[in-house]
Amino acid sequence: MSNALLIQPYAMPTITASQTDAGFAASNLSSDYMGLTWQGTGTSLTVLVDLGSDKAVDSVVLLGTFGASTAWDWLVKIATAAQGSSFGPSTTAVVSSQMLAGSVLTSASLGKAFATFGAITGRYVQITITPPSSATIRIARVVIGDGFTLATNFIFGAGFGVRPLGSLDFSARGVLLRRSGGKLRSLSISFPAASQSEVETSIQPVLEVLGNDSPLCIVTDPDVDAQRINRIYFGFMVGSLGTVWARLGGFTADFNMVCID
Amino acid sequence: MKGHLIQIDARDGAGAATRYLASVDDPLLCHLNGQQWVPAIAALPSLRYDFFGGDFNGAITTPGASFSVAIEGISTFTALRWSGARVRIYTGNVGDAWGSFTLRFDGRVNAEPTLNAGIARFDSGPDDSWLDKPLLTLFAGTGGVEGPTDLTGAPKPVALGSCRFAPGVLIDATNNVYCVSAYAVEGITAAHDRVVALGSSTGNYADLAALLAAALPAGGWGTCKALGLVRLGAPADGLVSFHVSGDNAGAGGYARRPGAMIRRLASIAGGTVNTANLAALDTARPYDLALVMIAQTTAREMIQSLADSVCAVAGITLTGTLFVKPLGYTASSLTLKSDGTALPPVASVEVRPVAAPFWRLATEAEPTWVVHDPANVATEYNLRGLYSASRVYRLDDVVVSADGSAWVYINTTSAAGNAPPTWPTTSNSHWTTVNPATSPDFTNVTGGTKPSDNATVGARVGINFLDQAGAAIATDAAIKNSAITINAAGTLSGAGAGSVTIGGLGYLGVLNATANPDLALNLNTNFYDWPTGSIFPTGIINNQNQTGSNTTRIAGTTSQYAMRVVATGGTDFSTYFDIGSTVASRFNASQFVMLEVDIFLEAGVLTSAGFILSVRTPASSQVSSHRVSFDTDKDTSGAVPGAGVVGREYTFRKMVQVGSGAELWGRCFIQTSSAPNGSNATGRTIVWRRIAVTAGDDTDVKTFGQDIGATLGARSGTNIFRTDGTTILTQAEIRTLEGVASSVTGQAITATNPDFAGINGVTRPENNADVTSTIEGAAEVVVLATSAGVPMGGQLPKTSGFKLWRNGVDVTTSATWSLTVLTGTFTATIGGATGVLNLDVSGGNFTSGTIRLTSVYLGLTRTKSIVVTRSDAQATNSGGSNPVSVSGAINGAVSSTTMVAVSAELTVAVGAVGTVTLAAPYEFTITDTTSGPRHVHAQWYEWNGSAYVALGTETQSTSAARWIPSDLYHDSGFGGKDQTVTGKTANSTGHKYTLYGRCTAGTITRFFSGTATAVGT
Repeated sequence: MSNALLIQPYAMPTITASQTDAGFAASNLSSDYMGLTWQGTGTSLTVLVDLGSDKAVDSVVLLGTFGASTAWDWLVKIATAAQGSSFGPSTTAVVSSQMLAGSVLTSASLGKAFATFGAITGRYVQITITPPSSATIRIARVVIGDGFTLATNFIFGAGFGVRPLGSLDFSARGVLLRRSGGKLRSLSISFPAASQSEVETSIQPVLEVLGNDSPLCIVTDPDVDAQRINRIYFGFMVGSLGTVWARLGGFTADFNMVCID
Repeated sequence: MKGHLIQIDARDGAGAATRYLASVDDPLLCHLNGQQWVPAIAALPSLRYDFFGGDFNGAITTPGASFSVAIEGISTFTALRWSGARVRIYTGNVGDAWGSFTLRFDGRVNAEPTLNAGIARFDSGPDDSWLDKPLLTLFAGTGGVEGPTDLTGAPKPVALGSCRFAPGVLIDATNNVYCVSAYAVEGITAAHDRVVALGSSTGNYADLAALLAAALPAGGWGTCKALGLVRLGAPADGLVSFHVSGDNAGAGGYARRPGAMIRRLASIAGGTVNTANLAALDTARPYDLALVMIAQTTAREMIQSLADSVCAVAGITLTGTLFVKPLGYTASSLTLKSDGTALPPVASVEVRPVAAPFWRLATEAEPTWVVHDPANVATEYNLRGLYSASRVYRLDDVVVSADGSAWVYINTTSAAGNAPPTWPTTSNSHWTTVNPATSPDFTNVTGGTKPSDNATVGARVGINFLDQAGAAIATDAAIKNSAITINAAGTLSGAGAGSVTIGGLGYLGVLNATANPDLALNLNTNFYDWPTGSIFPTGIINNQNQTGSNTTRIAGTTSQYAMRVVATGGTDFSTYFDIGSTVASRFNASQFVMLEVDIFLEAGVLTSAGFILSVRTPASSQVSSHRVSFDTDKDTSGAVPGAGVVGREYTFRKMVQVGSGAELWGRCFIQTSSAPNGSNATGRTIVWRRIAVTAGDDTDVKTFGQDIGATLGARSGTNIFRTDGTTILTQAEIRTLEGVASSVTGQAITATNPDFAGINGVTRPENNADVTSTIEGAAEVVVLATSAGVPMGGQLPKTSGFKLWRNGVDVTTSATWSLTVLTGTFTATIGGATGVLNLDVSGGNFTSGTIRLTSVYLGLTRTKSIVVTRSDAQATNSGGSNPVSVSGAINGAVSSTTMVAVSAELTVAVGAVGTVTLAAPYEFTITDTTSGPRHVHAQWYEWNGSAYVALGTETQSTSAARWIPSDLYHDSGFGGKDQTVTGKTANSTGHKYTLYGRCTAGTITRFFSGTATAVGT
């Protein structure tokens, strides 16, 4: 088991796709509405993300994929601004593997793709999906970032739950009064031994940037596993954000999330 | 899980900017129907209805929908225009296909959304704006069905259902075209003018052109149902209205029930309806309604009114569809149970305030769409005054004729030129009587000028002459005159100047012969009263052999009938009638009566024919007998007819004096042939036209005196008297009658007629000599001229009047005047009926000469010779220191108050003294016969080298001329004018002077005479 990976998604000003089905804009890949998706159909579907400037990239996550199976592959290429977005034949893929992060899908039957690699500076990220044959794939969100991993993993006893949005009540005569609603996954993990350096260089800046209104992606165990899809969380931090200098040389950092993936 | 989708058709500066919203952040929902539905719905839509509130406030309520949206999911939110944007709300289960989603709401955003904390709240309602738009289309004013210019912008009427007395809009005043509905109509069943039906329609025409081209009779009407038009055949008399089976242009055809009418209104307004719902309304409320809209309104108002009228509630669904639901009590369709044993679950139960119950009374009425004020409502009879041939009359129009009779129009076809019949005819195909001809009734009239009842005053052609009972005495044709008047002398006359006698008019009453000699003593003088079927005229009785086979009623000349008697030779034929009777006297003793008989000899001879008046006592003892014998008595021409001439009319007037006795009466015999009075051997046919015995008056006595043995031969100074001492003829009348002068006192009676046949001797005048006629006037007309013989200025043309006198009477203008120029060179004319002579130059010359005037009066000619003298001025003498005297005639005439020359021009030389002494004694006369003095003024004029100028002052004549009628004499006037002129330059060639004169007043011509002198020293 590897330590949890925390990824702050970069803003993605421009996203284009090699093919887009009607009603499924590529720009939806940067939308935090998971209901708004991009959809393409073909044997090789390419999504090009323009980060706006060269940035260090070491993680690419695809959320809310629908239609792909473990037989699908994907390639990720990164080019600097100087290299441009043409991605010639000589451009080397930083990722070339099975697309789905695991074989077990989410309860909503959605999949996810995940890749992490040594940080590469670039502006353009090209994601190519290659199904075995012409097929349709739908993706809700692309997360690209330069993640970080703390030296000491979160302690066991982390909370994995659900925030139900429906309601249930009873009348005075015991008659069920119910309103169905959505169920959002929730995650509550705590890093009890973060160093001061980790707080100052990684945790605190992320908290300051994201707050509780910008999404965060946490992969609790980046290692390959059939359940890895369900170990990838994408949502918003809730509650008090911050770290606690709990002891000499040690900080406690708690992350409580409501996920929308 | 339920999902909601909201589509808002907002707009931005570039146009449509539709935004799609979802309630669940799920691709299964967010990408339905090929759209991207942003899961930004913050609060699910809240839909609500607000139906009938129980207050019948007449408003169609509309539902609403509100929802909230996180604006983060709506790009360019603040740049969009939301108000009025169409909103559609769909619901379905997340994961279901688009086709499974239901449109729950279709409306428009009411206003810009409120925005708070990134959440925008929208309120919206169904799109029912069509309910509030003007419902009626407008006339464009471009002619035809769009009406004239002045109708521009006016709403077109719409009629729905069966409308009685619906109004129309006049869109073509020239052709009388009305628009009763803007769309096609089912029918137009009746047209009314002032609520009077105009009968049946002439027909229906396909379009306006055909309607205009149709030949519609005046009073008729036609339709163009396809365009909702009516055309009248003639201009309307007042407010028009129509019975209209209204609009059938909608999808449902003829709309007459509430649901169908609401459907049609919605169609016109551009709204959508639930057709099945409205059909159900018609089933629930199967009532035929009527609606006419002439003023601008809205579909909301009209539909609500229709719904209210059938106790129904109109509303708009969440999707903007109109529905109307009849109110009623029905079994419940849903039972709510709070114990959870039925769905939907009941959350809570509470009792809410309930308003007081409402109820309403049903009211029924049949509307009429045109309000007719009294002036616009024709009564059963429409009074149209005196009949006019040029006016179009309609059913129930009432007119009066000149005779006061009143008639009502009964023909269903309105028309002009059909006159009412002449009373007493009571009807024809167009008119029937409602009141007979009237007669004047003066019962309530008082005063001295009140005419007698039923008097026919100033009766004109076309009106019979009526007796007091109102019956015709004589028809207009019998009267033969255009008017009858009674003049100051009491004579009844026709306009043709012919006098009319009462008897001539068939008067049958008892007359007072003594008081009025023009009236006959007998009745039926002209046989006017001769009933059809009677052998003889009323009052005539057979005496000898007259029967229906020889006595015939034929058309008369003096009346409508005459008696034609055919007498065979050798037999006497006669009839008789009585004047009075043994118990009723008619004659005074010794009364003069005139026997008047008018006959026509059609065949045979007059011998032995005649008329006898036998005057008798009450015991029928004859006291005198008087006969007019046609063959031996003179007729009115003075000739004795003898046997007579076939084909001639004879009139006899014979004055007789009846015998003495008391209570006399007469029997008159009409003898066509009578052997005792001559031979009856020759047959004859005599038409008896008039037999009258009239009382003789003074005129009759004068005219027929030779027959009455009057005391003629009376001496001068003695009148002719009746036996009672009253005067028959005065002395003057005797002289005139006898044609002799008063100086012939005692002259023999034979002088009655001027006949000098028996007079011999050289002094015997010719027969019919006129010894009194004379032409009066100047014997000489003088024209003053210069010494060179040129008529002086103002002299010509010169007029001179002449008169013709006869027996002291001026008959100038009754005579015919002419003249002949015997000698001289001048132009002379005379007024043919005035006797005024006019002289002028002829070819620039004028010399003395002679004229012969001729006047002709009553065939007698009188002549007079007139001398025309040109009086030249004396030639200039040599002058010198010794007095030089010149003279000239004063002989001019003046006819005005303007000065003109009346003397010759005197040219006198002046010597060293330089003085000219002028003298002008004159006389003057006139020929006029009007009374009064006639003066003149005279004055000397001197020639100054270029014109005559007055010297000194004018002087009036000393004595005036005048006409003395008692002596039939003109008295001359006279005067004189002297003038001394001093300081004149010695001049051997002379100075020129002329006497001028003028009328002092008036224009009666004065003729000057005398000699003027001028002495120069």
